[in-house]
Amino acid sequence: MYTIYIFISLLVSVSSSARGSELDYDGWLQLRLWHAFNDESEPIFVERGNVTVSSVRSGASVVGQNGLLQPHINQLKTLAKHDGKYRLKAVARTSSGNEITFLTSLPACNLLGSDLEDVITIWLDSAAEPIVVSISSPGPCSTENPFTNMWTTNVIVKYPDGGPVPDTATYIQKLEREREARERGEAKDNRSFLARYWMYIVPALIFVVLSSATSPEAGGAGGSSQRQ
Amino acid sequence: MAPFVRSFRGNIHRFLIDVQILQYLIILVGLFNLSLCLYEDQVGKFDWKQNYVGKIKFASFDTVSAAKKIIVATEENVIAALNLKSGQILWRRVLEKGYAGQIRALGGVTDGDLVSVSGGVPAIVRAWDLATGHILHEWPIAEQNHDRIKDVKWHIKDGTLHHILPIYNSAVEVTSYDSKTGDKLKTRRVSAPFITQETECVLVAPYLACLKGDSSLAVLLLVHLFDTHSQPQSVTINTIFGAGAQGPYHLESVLGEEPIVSISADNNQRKRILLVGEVPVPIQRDIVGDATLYVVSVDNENILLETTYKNGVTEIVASELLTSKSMPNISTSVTHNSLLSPTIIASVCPRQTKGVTCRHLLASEDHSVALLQHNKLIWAREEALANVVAVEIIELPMSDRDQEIETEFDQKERDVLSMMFRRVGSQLKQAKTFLQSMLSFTPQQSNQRMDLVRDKFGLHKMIVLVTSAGKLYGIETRKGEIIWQLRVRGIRGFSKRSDAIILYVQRGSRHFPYPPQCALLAEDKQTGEGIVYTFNPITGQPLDGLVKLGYRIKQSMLLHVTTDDFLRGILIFDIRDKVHVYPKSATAIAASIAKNTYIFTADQTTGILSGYSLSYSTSQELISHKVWELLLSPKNQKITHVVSKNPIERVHSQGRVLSDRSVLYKYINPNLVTIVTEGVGHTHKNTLNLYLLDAVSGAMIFSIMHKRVRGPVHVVHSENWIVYSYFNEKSRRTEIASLELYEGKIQSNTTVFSSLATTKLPIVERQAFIFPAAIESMRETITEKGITSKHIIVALANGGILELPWMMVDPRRPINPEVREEGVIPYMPEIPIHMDAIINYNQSVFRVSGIHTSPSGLESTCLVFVHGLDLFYTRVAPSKTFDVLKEDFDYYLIVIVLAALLISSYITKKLASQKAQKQAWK
Repeated sequence: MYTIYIFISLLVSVSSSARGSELDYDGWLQLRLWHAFNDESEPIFVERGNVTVSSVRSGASVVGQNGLLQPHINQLKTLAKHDGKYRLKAVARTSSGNEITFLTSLPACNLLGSDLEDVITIWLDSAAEPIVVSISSPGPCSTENPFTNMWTTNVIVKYPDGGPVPDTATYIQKLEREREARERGEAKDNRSFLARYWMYIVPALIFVVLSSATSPEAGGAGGSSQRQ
Repeated sequence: MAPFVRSFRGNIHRFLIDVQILQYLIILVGLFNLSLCLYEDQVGKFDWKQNYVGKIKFASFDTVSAAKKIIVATEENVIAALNLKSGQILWRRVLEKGYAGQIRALGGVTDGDLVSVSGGVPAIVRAWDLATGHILHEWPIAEQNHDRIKDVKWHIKDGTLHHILPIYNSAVEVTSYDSKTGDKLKTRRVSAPFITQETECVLVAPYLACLKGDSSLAVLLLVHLFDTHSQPQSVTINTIFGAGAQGPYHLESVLGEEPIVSISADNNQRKRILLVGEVPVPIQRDIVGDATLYVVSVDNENILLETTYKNGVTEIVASELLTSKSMPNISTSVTHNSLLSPTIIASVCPRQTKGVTCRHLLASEDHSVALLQHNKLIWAREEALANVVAVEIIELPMSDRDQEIETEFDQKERDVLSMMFRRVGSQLKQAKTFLQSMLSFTPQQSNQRMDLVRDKFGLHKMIVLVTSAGKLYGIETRKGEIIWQLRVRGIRGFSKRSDAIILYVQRGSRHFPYPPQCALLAEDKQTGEGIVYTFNPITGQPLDGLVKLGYRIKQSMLLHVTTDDFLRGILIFDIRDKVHVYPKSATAIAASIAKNTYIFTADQTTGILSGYSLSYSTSQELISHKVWELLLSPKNQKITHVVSKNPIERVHSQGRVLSDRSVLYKYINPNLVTIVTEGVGHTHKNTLNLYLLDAVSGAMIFSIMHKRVRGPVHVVHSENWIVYSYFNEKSRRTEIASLELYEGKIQSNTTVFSSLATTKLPIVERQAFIFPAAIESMRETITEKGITSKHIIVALANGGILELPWMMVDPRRPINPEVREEGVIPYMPEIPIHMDAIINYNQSVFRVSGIHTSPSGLESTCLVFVHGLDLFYTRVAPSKTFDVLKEDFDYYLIVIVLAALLISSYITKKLASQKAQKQAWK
């Protein structure tokens, strides 16, 4: 008989509070997880545990899941040897009472290589409804026995960023600043146009002369000068 | 001197300070150089445009004006005048798009003023000038019953517009307006209590004919619309057909000047006509069911024209209406390629000195229009081209001589002896052709047109077009000439995918002696099951013909590996999630790569997106299993776009060099898909969501939401960036937003990208810009190696096509430039539209539905094909033509200069050595 371990990991993953404010709603979210290790096209799901996100805005979550049994680890190893995929089914229940089923998968060898460490990412839409539950594992790929039979699960809740808007205000400020700077500069500088900008005009003039020399009309003239 | 030196020093100092200004200046000059303008004499040299009007809805001969013409109104909401002799468009007016511009009635041409009714609520009445197509009057009709607009019948006669609305179980309401001023003249109610929702009614002015009842007791009821006192007349079916006719009956009005209805019976096997008048006159003669009818008057005598189409022969039989006496001098029979089950939509038979000559305007099933004069086809217009649904640009094959060389050095056989035989044989053949040309024999006819061969720079190509009418065209790119056309009967676009037809290039023209092959994927019109139609895109010959698949198609994909004969198979996913390969012979090759093959599907109605892997496939059978599934709840949002990258795209540069000389690596994920959804419901209305999804792992990469914006949304997804446009409700303007994805300063895998191994999310740069025009369509340019910078081709609503450098919508454009990066312009909120960047100069194109870009043989040049109501083709060079010499390149000058330089260097060398010698003697 195997002792049942309960592993709880708590993770707050709000990257920035500014982006968090895009979400108008707050609520809870419950995920029930099933997984399949069988190396066939039709998955056989067994229960894995559940995740409770108490506040979707803060992303605070509680993970409750059992450790893997040895037969399951063996199955996972066979799956990894055949380059198969570990499949996870997540049934999400939201505070509005909806029940949505998601399916996600990752290469089984990545799971073994990272010693059963995985990241479950829950993406919400603008109405705080889950749209994607996806699992990922950093890897590396391996078919060896994992160190532990306990999951190390991180839960990340993500929601859409606010779309960019044309930044007119800053641009107008910038123009204002430039205009002011120019006005201040103009008061000091009262030289003639040529005196001020000769260093731009001269290279441009040289450039024009050079380019006109290579143009076909001037080509004849250039040729005649060669003859001289 | 000294003050000057001081001022010089000061200037140098100033110069160093103003380096930044100089940089701006250089960038500004660079911007001007970016836009490649066209000289006047280059107009039409690289581009062509073709105008169309669309499928004809109403047509009328204008015999009143001095210049004879045909007035047409079409399904594309266009009113146009066509030249009677050539079929060219004399003028064309494009009305509002979609429902708001739908043309409901056209009339008054015989009275010399053209009146049209278009749109829904409110309907807009316009009076047009026949000669020029200018609007003379315009006024809206305030509709009382909004939901019954489709039941309203319109009648235009003698400058009066009659709005006829049957009111169920009561009467017919006729409201008359002055068609020019819009004044309401009169409202009448003609009693007609028999009209219910099921009654089939047609307008045969001045009567409304309704058919009541289905069985043999059916009665035809005629209501005089302008006489409120008259009672409805009734004609029983038995008086029309005699006894023994079987239902269901179908009522139709016969086109033409006279009020005549036709009733078909016996399951559309036969029909009879009834002349409607004070005393209705049934004509006791059976007409075949599939004949289409038209009544034309010749010398005040009414003539019935019956048009039938059988085995490619169109037959028009004319007979006197009342006596049924046949008129062989008007009857004709014609066989022509561009006629397919045509119907007469307008006809005129004027008496001339030689006798009566009839002109018939025929509209075919494949949307083409033709003018028939007596028994000669004067012109035909391919109006199907106004509704293109799929485009591919295909390289032309090699010339015959190149093909011979290709066979000579065919790599397939490595046997020395056979290779020698082949070489000798081919050389003998070459010697023979040489001798023939020496002795001026006529060269044997080639099986291809001489000019349809690949050119040096790969600029001459073939455009394969698929139209919504199920007609395919091959158009060469030099002049826009139609080389071939093909009709595929009984197909329609995928109804779930807004009538899209999919076109795949299975084999290009590089694999001589195998012919190039294209495959069309569509739905069967009757069953809705999938069909595959393969054809040669260069000659237009069908290859395997129409193959019925026997299952409904959910998703399809072109395999990237080829079979031994260079054919790329098509993976087809049916609605029961079973995977098929077309052709069957490619199954083994598909199974060999099945381990790494993934398919994803998106369902617009349920909002479910699923990913499938084929890794459990055997070499005989492909087996799919679902690896991910997600739900974009249809309660909150509706999927409008799923955009992946162009599969032939190549990314040349892996990163971007920053100002501190470090590299920011691009996130180039070939499996990345952009999904755009628009919010539905009260709370989420006017929100726009954009998701970036990895279609292999099913992982969401990024999501963004815009509030208070709405469509139309246009998305361009390429390399590591996404550019999309939308309409901002709040500011009432079109905006373009752009996203750019970077992995960061370290690249996760330098050789190959794997969706399953990469778990790190990319850095997303974003920026929005104001765009001062409405956008119809967007597409990025593509070149062979991806070295040339990318431009975005934007079709504007005003008819222009703008070439917008991607640099202008770069999200890394800095707002406060402190350290400048190479090739990054400081941020400006508005994107200016330079007139030089309009690539179609004054050749406006309207109703653009799509832009197709294709690489040419030159790295610098990209071919652009714009389709919509008009077709426009041109080529663009986003980084200027850096790999071609200019046409007016002066070879002599460069030779002279080089020679002079060589000589002078030789002479100076001599002189220098002489000088050195003299120095040594000193």
